[in-house]
Amino acid sequence: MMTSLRNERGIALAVAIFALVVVGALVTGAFFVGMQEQRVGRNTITYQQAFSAAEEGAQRQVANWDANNANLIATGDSLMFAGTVGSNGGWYRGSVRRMNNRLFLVRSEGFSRDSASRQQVGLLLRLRPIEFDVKAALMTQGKLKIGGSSQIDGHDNSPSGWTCPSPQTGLPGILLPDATQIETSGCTDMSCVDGVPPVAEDPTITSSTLTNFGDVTFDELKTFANKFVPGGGTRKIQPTLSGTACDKADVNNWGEPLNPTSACGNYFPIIWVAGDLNINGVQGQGVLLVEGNLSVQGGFQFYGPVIVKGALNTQGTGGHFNGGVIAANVNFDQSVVLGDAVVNFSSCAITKALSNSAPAFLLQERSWVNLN
Amino acid sequence: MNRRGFTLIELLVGVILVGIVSLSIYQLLINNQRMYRQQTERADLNTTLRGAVAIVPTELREANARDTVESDITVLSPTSVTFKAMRTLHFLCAVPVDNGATGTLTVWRNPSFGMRGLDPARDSVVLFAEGDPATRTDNYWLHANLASIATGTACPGGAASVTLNLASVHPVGGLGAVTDGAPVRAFEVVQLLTYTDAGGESWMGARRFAKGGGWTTTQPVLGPLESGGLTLSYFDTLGAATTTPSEVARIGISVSGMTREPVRTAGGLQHVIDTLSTQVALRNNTR
Repeated sequence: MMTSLRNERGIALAVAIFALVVVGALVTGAFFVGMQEQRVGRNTITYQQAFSAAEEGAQRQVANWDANNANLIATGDSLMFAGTVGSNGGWYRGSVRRMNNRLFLVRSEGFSRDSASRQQVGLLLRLRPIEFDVKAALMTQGKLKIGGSSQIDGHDNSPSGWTCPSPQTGLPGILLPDATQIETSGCTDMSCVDGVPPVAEDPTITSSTLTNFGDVTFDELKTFANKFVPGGGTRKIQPTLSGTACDKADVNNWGEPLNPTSACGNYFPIIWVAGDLNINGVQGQGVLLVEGNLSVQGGFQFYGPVIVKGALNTQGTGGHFNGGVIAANVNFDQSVVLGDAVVNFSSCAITKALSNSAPAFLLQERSWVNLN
Repeated sequence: MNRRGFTLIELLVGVILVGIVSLSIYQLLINNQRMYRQQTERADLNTTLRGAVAIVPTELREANARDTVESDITVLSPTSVTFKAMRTLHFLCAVPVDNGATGTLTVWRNPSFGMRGLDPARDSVVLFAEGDPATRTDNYWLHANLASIATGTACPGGAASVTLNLASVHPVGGLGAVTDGAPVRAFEVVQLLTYTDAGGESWMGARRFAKGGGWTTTQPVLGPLESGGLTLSYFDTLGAATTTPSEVARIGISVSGMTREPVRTAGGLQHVIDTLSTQVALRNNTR
């Protein structure tokens, strides 16, 4: 056998090895080009994933503006957020930073699903506090019946348990175009009305002046609402919790003004009632917009401005309004403030309700920033 | 005698066989090299087109063509666009000093955002003017030339600051409507255009406006392109074509790239040309 091996001659092995090397080089070259192309394509996808995630993170903060927390941030401080995009679309994190009284910067970092790519965008937001020119504890344009044990007071009252600045100069208790439209029942010599003065007339008051506030109208205000209440029926308004957090999804939860340090103490919704509403207790705060008539009983207590497009009616153990009430009376129905009703002017309740519920909008121009 | 060796016939057969094998391998190598080059050229072309839809929209997206004071798009044509490219974002840490046509801003050094620092040689600024806090309908952005900058610790609490000295404030006296905390954006004027290099190849390039010396040398951004391979089209808010800078709401971008070397295709040896089109909406337009 050894002899036989010695007799092996030729170049087959060398040629085969050479061919293998050549073919290997060819395959490697093709593989390299394909791999490079695949990587570039992959990078494009991850870039888009990260960019989309950053965009979603920022836009969500605007669409779901958390007024009750974000509006309370001190200038220079931030509120953090994080989330995911769908089930496979990447994730984001970022912050809402307050730059001054009205301006916020939303900074959103987006990441691809595999976190290999990162993009960062920003949005500039401006608070748009609702401007209410409250001129009296109770403003109306039509007939008004007052009396019983009710009390209407235009002096500036600070809600009990709230931290408020010094009271302002008082306002009229009642302001309406014609004081002869007031009918009393047991309120001799307007003894149930107090203010500076207790009753004042303003002949310029019309349906229009009572439904236009600064640069917004009643109908525009409705678009800011974050609590929608169908008209009709009787509701018991009171705070509710979801676990330990304030249950803001509950249509009958309008915050907890009687306990400002509770979970719902800082919850000031903008409430739009699509028709008539009857309330039978207990408490709420924020901005209340009623498309129809509002009837209150059961000692319901509300803190903040109330605008009723129709008539206001409080009887029995009526309602307590702390802030200011505008009963536009567009149909000239008679408003009735009887029973144990209380209508107190409170600049503190109005200011807090408006500032804590103010929506934020993108700046009208140059609101979008590429932060990369 | 054990005499070994090849006959002439054996040698000729061997040489012919080796020649055939060598030729086959050579042909294989040549084909593969051609295919590799073709793949590489096509991959480069794809990269060029991808780059076009990544870079151009990113540059243009932040523009506000409908700025009520001065449009960010200054000159437009089907083959080039001159615009204010946003570079940095800062926030005031103090109320500005208003001297009419000039003024001084003090901004936080942190937070601030941007890929580079402020450069008075090429940057100008726009800054947010609040006006009456009770309404947002009077809000606008001032324009000003950035004359010089200085770093310091002039922000509240001795925090790091940058002082921006402004000239040519427009509108004059507008700094009085600017509040503490307002955003400030620095920009440079940039032109995207097509140009032909010394080798006769067409490219998409960019140049910026240096305040002291006019336009800088055009730098290549993408290419090579087919001759006339960059086409820009401009649309207003209703989707109609427009040639007025202040009406632009959307820009169409069409890039026709080509391989640098000719590659063998079904039609013979030639440059492969491919086109990619996209559109970008100007996100910061006045609404």
